[in-house]
Amino acid sequence: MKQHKGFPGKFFPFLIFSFLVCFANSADAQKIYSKVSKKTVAVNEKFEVNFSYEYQGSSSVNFTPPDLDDFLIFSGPNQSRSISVTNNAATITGSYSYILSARKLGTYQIAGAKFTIEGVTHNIQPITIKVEGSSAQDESGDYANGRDIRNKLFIRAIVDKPTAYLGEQITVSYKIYVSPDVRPEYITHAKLPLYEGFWAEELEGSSNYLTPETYNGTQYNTAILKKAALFPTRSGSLKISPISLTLSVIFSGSSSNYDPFSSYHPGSSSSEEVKISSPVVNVNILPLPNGDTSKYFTGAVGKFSLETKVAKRKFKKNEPVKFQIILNGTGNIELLDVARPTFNKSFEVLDPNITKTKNNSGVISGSKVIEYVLIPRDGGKYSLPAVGFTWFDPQTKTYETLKTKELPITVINEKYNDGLTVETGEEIDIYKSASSFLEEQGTYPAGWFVVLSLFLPLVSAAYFVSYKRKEFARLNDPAYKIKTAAQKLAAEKMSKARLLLNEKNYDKFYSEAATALEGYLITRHGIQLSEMTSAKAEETLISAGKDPAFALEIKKLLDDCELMRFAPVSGKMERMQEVYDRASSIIERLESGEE
Amino acid sequence: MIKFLVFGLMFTSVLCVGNIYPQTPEKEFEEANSFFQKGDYSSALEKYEGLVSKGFKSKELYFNLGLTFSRLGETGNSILYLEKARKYDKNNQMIAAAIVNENLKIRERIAKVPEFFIFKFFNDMSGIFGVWTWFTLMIILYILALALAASFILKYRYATIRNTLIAGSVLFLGLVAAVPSFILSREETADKKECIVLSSQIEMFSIPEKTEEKPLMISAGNKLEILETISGWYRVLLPNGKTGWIQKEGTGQI
Repeated sequence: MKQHKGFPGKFFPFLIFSFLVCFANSADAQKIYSKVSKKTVAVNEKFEVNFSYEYQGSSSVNFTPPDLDDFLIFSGPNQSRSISVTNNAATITGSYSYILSARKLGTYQIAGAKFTIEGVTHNIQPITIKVEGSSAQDESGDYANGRDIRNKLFIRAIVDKPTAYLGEQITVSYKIYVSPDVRPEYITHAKLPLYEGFWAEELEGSSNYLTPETYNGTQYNTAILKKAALFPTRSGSLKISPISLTLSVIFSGSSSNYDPFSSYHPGSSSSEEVKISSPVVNVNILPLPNGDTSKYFTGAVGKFSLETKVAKRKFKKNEPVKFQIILNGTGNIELLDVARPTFNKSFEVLDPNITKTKNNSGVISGSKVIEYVLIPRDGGKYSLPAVGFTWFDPQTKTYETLKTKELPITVINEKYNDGLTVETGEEIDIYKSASSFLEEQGTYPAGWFVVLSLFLPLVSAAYFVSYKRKEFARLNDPAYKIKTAAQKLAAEKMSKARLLLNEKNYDKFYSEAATALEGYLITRHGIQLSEMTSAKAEETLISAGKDPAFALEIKKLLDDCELMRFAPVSGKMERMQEVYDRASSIIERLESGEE
Repeated sequence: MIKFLVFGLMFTSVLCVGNIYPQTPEKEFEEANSFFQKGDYSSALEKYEGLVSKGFKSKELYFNLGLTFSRLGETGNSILYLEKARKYDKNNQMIAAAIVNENLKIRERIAKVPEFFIFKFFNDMSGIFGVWTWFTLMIILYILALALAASFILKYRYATIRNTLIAGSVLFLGLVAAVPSFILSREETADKKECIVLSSQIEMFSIPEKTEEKPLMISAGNKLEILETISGWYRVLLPNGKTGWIQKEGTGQI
């Protein structure tokens, strides 16, 4: 097995026996040992404690574990037991082992472990462990159930430079190395780095597949787990925190130092859980040198370019002017800032709009556009201010400053209109009074109301049309025409008779009353004028299906009128009213058609 | 005894009313206005908000509140109340101008997708009048059209084929303008639910759940159309046509 120079944690459990401290607590046939891989360890450094026994006989062994509260137990108690027979006597050997690490500095004792063999209790002498200093190396002191896997499976944290200026990018890549006889299956737990003291940006470039690589003369399969651009935010010695993974791996054909049976099964494979971590990497961060730091310096480190832009040079009053400050370059784009320029007082300045574009492959680069929207409130000639920007270039180790030119613009006194009149902030004033304080907002016609408003006129129109059509038909009917003509005639004559009645002109009255009735019958029933007699009228009415009594009544009235007109009878004056009433009633009844 | 009780009740009720409404809303409104004019925007805000919290509402109150928020630099709230004021009076130029001014202050304003020209034409036209005017106009044109049809059927003297065709086409054009405008403006007033982003930035997700995906950030002041609501979440349509879910918290419905 090769030892790798520079590879942290280069001790191997099976070499630790040189540090062995043996405490033999021997009885005749019963031997008790305790071993520790290291008496002086660092905080978090892993070490092994082993309690072994050897005796002749067949009874069982009882192990009382020691008090390990001061330590972190990585594995254990791991048991092993073997029987060997020599000279017809069986010797049983076995051990209980732990892999531990100390939590804190100090001196501790591992005490209280006991073996009870064939009823005899053997106290094991306390082991003293001295914990000194913290171990960065042993973050990667990787074990799997006691198996040393450090040169079979490990993570390296690779930084592109050990020294950098404050704000200068350091790229860290966490790369996993896997020996060909180790097959990682899956990650059960991962603790990602925290990057304290840095502004971190994830970089593209982590891979999901393994690529072969020779490292320190040994062939490995490697993959980049994570890549990040780190921008130090304080100077001094900074630690880049490690990445820790718990993996399920298969070791094929490997032999364990602690498993005496594994050698009987060459080529056997087993899946085990392994915890590995990358080492902590120290980087030295230099403060920025004192130099020509102008008023434009806001802490930018890298290489940049600066320009200002405005879309056009002629604007109307109140038209928004978009003034862009564009920063381009490599460095921490996210943290860049340009001091707010001072604009002319006749501009209303709105908060800037910032857009960033970033390229996250390798060295962080990109652009930052700071857009100010200015609203010119007065006409005239103005110049948009010059903008300056200073940064520290770590390559040349100097401060660089760029200053843009002023951009002249003209604001003409014509009002800008984008469909709506944009008044100035001052011109828009509050309402002095309110008409109502319980006004419902946005009333609108309800659905039913809309439907009703559409339906009602439609129904009315339909009704109107059908009514009008019916009326037309009725007016054009010949029978209707005759009836109305008769009515008209009768009405005319009767009103004349009324007048004569009032004038007491009985002579003409009786003639008019008779004509009214006769005229009605002539028009309505088609009696010839020459044939018109009271008897003919009665006959016609009866043949038209009228009540004979009614027909007789008409005949009588006609006869009465005749009598009054031509016979010298008394009471002509007095009977006028009676005749008038009878005639009206008859015409009324004829019109209604009830008789 | 009863008299005493009645008197006592009346007295307490007078006291209660006195406590709930120590001032008329008109008076409080004027007070708030005078604070505003003096430039004491936070006192004005307190007064206006007091009126709103008491359930008073009017175009003027919302407008003044919106303007006060604007002066205090709260773009989201300012736009919310100005939009509320606009709901009362869609064609008010002053409210529209204040909204345009305030919209310029949105940090990252979501650009509006240009509308299809026909929709734009009708949308613009529907904005000329309010919903009631469009409704009245539509009903008048409709009744006239019915009258025209009736007189044509009844063969009135003036309802010759020529006259009917001329009047009919004029009415048809009128209805083509009025009906979609009425439908659009009614939809705008009745069915469209919108909200304004009030928090400086809110996150939009593709499902109503805070997921691992990188959410879309929406700045304060942006107006979003609410498509759907489930407990604590709105499904919204952005002006650029995208849809997604945002949490109700940090937004205000117009």
